[in-house]
Amino acid sequence: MQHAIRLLVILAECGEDVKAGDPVGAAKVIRSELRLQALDFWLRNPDYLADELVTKVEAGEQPKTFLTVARNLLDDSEPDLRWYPMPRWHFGAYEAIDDAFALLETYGLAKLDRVGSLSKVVRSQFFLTDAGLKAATDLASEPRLSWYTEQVKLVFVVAGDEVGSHLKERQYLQAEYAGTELGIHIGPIAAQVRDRLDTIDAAAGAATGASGSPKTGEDA
Amino acid sequence: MSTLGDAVLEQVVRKGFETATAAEVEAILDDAGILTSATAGVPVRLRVARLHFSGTKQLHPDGDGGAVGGTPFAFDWDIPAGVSGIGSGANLRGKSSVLNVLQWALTGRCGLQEDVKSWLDRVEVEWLIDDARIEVAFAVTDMVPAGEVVLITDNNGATRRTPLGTFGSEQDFEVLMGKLMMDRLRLDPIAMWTATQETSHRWPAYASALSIQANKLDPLIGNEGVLASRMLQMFAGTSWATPGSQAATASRGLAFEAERAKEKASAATEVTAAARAAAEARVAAARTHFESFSAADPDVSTMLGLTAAAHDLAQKAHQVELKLNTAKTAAAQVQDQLKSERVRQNGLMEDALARLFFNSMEPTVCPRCAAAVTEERKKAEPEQHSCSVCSHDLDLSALAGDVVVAASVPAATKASLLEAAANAVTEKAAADQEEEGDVIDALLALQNAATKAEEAVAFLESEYDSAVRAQEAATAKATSSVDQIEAAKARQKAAIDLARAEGNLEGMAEQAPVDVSAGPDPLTVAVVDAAHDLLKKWLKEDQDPRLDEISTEIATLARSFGSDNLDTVTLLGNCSMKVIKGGVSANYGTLTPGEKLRLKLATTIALIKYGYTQGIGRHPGLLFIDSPAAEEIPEGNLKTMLQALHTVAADSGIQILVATRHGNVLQEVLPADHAIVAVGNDPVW
Repeated sequence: MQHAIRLLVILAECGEDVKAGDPVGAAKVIRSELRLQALDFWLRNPDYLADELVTKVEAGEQPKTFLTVARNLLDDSEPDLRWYPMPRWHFGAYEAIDDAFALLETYGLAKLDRVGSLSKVVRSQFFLTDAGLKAATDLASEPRLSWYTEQVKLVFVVAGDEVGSHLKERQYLQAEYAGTELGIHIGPIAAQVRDRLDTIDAAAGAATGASGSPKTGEDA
Repeated sequence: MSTLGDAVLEQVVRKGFETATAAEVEAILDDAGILTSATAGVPVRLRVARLHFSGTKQLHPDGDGGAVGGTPFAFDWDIPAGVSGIGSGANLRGKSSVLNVLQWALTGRCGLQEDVKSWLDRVEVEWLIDDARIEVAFAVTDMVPAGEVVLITDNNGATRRTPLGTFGSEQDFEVLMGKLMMDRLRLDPIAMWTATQETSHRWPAYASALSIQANKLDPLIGNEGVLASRMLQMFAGTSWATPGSQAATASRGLAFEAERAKEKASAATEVTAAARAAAEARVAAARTHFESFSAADPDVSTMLGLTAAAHDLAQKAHQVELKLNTAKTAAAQVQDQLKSERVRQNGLMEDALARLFFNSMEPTVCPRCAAAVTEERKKAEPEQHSCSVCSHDLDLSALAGDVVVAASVPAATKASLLEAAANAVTEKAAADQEEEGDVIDALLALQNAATKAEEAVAFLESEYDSAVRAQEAATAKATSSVDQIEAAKARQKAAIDLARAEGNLEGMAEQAPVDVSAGPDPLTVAVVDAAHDLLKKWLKEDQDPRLDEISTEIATLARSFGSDNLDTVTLLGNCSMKVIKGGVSANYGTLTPGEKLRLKLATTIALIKYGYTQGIGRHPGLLFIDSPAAEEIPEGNLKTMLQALHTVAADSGIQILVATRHGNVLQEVLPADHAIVAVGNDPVW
């Protein structure tokens, strides 16, 4: 059920607008299972998400206020409750999404379009229907489940419109993730990210001190 | 017991050596080589009876008229008693050589010029010592003498030759003659102290006093200044002359030894003083070090108690630490469980909420075949209780709680779904009104457990901190008391060091006087010095009247030798002479050579005469006078002097040999057999 909720908010927040030729009643679409899986990975692993936020700030692509957000992701108890380790598979972090997506389809919230044969799927397109978009909006007012609609916004900040393969490459670069043995749950990297943040804070503190007025203790 | 020994004993006893015995004094004097009886000596007369020497002259063909290959020569002279003379018309004609050959045969020491010595092949001299005929005969080969000394006796008309000794070198010759003459003439060696050692002057020193040379007029008697006063004593026959010189020498020797010992002691004292100063410095340093320690004795039982307490506290701290670690582990486990429980409950809650979220919607398509859910089927769900998607029968009781679940689903699953739905509903309600129930008791229990675990950890941490502090304080106390023990040990060692340094210093104080007392035995010094003082006194008492008589005789003789204006002469014990001439006082050393020659000759002859007339003294009565007119004595004065000598010699039995350039004077004054005179430029031999 939570998986279906995550897919719903990811499609709503990170899906692109539908074009002509797409099914009637569809509002948003993600045209790659790889991208969907990558986005789901960041949503369920707050420490990896924080790490990517720090990287974005360091690259100058995001404002420094996200450093505070990243630290909150590590320190708050809420994300800690929502750390759902997932096994790494050939396409990166992977968990079969068919059951969860079927639930969305039953209620007319989403629609899956697979291209290719039964044995060999070439491409999958995940559509969010108008009803799905409304359901996601309703979810934002739910007392507990609204966490997902907020968190997925950060995931979009990190992922943007990049294609799935690029996102997976970035996730491979995240050291702990890349070092994980096949089939073994991906370990936490909260400690390393905390170190990165501390280093940045220390450098920022030193820069502030250096630019301040020189100390003239003898005159005081 | 000797006279000297008795007198010395009296002296040393008076000086504080009360326990000294006569035997000790005699032994000391004997050891010091001091004769204890007076030996005035009886004169023994020495005469020369015959002289022969031969050889080959090697003169240069030109100038000296020498022949090539050399000119053989032989000189023979039976010398009579009294005054005899060798004269030549010119200098360098061999007259001095005649005297020199005689002196060679007398002493074994050659004073000839090298060229003349090299010409000689053979020398024979016959001496008369009192009545004994002694012949000294030797060959000269390459200037080295080799020959023998023979005693010639007349045994019922037959001449008997008894060898007294042979010699093959100048050294042997000198040793032989020295011993022979000292024995035969009954002369004592003259002991002298020179600089650092005792020396004994023997025959060569005496023999030098037999010769008067115009170019060697100082000192008044003999050739050596230091020996003059001793020779005077010997020739004047002064009592105690020999013991006096022995005592003076021994005294100076002891003084020298004492001086040396003093120097050594002084050096030793300096060394000792330096060592002592160092030892004192060590004592001072050791005392300072010792006093730097506290005198308080350490309390061993307190120290042991403190150590034990520190040990106990350390154990306690360790036990608390173990408890703390256990508590920390327990707290961590509780936290883990709490977290797992929260995650689990959160998952359940979210799952139920999601289910609630989706259940409120109506299914529109079949996820399998995409067929639309018809209105018919939608109505069948509440009316016929069949699933609007798959037509399965729904569980009625679950449906009553707004939970859509097939009746065929296992009961356990259904119950779980119902509970989650109920929770979700409660959750939604609780969003507005906080209503506590007993629903999440596991979580609460875990939270309570976590709180209690943290409290336990905090308590144990504080307990551990105080235990560690107590243990550290106790350890510090114990360490300080151990330090006190160490300090006491160091103090004990410092006390030993101090005692050792003090003992060392005391040992030095005991040693010091031993060094200072080194030196000659005080009694020996006292005895020898007393003997010296006594003998000096006795000698002077004995000699002074003799010197008065001799001085009168000297003045008489000197006047007869031509010193017309001589008033008085005073010969002193130190062999100096005061002269009053024409009312003016003068010393011998300041007179003209002519005056000196007359006075020296007069002194020697006066001594010999005195000895012969008194029957004491030691001058052998033989005199060689070389070139008396060489210096400032006019020919007329020489004649007067020779006449006087001739008279004196005839009266006293002295034999005098005079060599002079004034051969004519010899011929005028002396009988023909008393003079050998070469005329003009002719050589004497």
